[in-house]
Amino acid sequence: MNGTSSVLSIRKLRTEFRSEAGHWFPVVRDIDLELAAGETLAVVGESGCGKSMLAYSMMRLVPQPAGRIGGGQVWLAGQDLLSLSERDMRAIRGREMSMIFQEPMTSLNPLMTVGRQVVESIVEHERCRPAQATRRALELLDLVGIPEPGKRYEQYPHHLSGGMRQRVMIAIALACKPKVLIADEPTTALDVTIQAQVLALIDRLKRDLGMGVILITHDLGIVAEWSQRVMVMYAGRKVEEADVESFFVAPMHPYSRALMESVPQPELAAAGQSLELAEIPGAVPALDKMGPGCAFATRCSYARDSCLPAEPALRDLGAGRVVACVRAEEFAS
Amino acid sequence: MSTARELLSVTGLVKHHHTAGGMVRAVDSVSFGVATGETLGLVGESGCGKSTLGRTLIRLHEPDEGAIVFDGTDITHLGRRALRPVRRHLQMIFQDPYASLNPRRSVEQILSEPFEVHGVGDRFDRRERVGSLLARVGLRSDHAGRYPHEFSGGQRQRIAIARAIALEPKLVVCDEPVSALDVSIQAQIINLLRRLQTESGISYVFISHDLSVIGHLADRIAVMYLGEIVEIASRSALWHEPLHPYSQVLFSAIPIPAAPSQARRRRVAMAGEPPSPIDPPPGCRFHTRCPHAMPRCREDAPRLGVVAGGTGGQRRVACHLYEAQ
Repeated sequence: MNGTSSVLSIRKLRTEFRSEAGHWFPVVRDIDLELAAGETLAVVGESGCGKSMLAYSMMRLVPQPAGRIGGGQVWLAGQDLLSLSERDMRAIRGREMSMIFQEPMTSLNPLMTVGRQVVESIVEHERCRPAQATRRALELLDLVGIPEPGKRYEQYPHHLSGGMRQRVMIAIALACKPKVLIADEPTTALDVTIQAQVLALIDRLKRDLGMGVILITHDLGIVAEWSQRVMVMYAGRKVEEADVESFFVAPMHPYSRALMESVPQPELAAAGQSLELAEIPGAVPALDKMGPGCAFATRCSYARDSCLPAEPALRDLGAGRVVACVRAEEFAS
Repeated sequence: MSTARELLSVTGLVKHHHTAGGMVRAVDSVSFGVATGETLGLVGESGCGKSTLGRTLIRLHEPDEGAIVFDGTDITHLGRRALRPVRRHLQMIFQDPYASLNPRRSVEQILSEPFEVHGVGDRFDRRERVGSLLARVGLRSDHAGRYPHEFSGGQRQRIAIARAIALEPKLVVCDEPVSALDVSIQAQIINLLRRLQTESGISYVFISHDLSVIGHLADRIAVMYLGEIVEIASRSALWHEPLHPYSQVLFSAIPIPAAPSQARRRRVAMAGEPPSPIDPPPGCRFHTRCPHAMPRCREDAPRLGVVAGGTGGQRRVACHLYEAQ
């Protein structure tokens, strides 16, 4: 958390989209974020909370012309990525900062062998002989736990299972030992046992290579088991950030609490406890039609009149915890 | 599970799929029962045959072998006409409500259809029934005039549920009904399904790859691997003490949303991925990945046998480790 050990620092990042009426509205609002080497920061929230768009913004992959980065800084390895030319940025992607996605099939080229795709990601960023690149690619396939890498090298993506394809994506993402890996729902399409294998792989490689990992997920179980810090987003904004232990002991934003209570807890069900899950009334607000107050207020069972006229500030409550709620202290364990 | 109130009984069910790569025994000699008002969870990984089993149960697929007895009637080979009166008691809900709702029909038309097909009520009466169905699933009566695309994913799933319960079915097969929904919406649909069960005593066969959802909803759970049931037991028995080595791997892989200092963690690791269902391993199908495999597991397929003791009453396990008991 202290600035000196950060591999990635984000300041007041703001990403906007153009509405049908033609005005710009924010989908990522004033996000601050610090990521240390060897740390996994989980970003959680439901569909439309802005967590994927935050990732695309860091990679400067915001779809254009519908969207644009409206302000802020993304500091990586001593430079602000938002000030780089597109050409310089291309050198950063894959080499300094890589990203893997939910569905590896859509990000792999179906017409190219697995091996060649790994080789391409190597030679794109560094000069090396073909034989050298081939050897590196085989090492990488082995590193990510693909059995018989020599055989897999010659195969096409459709020959591989979903879990194996995700491993190939990880191999490509790690080809140049990036400082930061962004994983956007990397296991959502996978079965639970394969999910455990892939998350364990990311965790091991993170330690071996000293990377920082940003893990975007909707699954609070994954947050608890595979990250050290968590950031909850709602309507494009950070509403809570904490270390994982204290977050799960006592979430302090009403949205975090509601999310936690709506998750099935078979442990409790098996012990014969209440089977009624908490529901969050209403729906996520349309981002282009937001009022001035707290974006969660209309769905919040703790809301007061004072929540409506102005948005609550993101307050530092100490011990690495920040919460955007006027009543946060009431929820301390 | 008392046999007296058994609503569905499946014996030796087999369903083949013919694929380009060869014949797949997607469901292989599966036997189980579902009691009135009970939820049976079906779990297993992609390709284990759980969806095929769900569809074969309600005769969306024709079974190749075995018998399905529903509410006292053997429906295994009933023809279209004879099946019709049974169908109203046997419904299904799918993962993607958008694909199962006709986009050109209004909610009123969609929900009137079951009544029309089965000749229930007149036009005036049906309108009233649609109104009360909408209320039961938490939608408003003015939603009746709208079309599926005007609704959110969670609301569409409510419409699909309303259609499934229109004729007061006795059994509903739910195939991944909450998998595409955000957690807060998922909670609404899970609560709704449970409330409907309490109100009218429906039985569910609930298929999901999400073990937390199954663990929350199911009274009993059947674990499938490569087309076979390898263990079937009460929820608490499987949750606290899975016996089959595959169940142990599966249940230990669930990430628990709790503070690291409080979570019990004993992950049972498993190498590799499921073998091809076209050419399953001989003997026990799990032996290629099983941490406890013995020489006889390679030749001799274990039967799904009753295992006494443990928590949560009777359970059945297909594993040589427990046969001596």
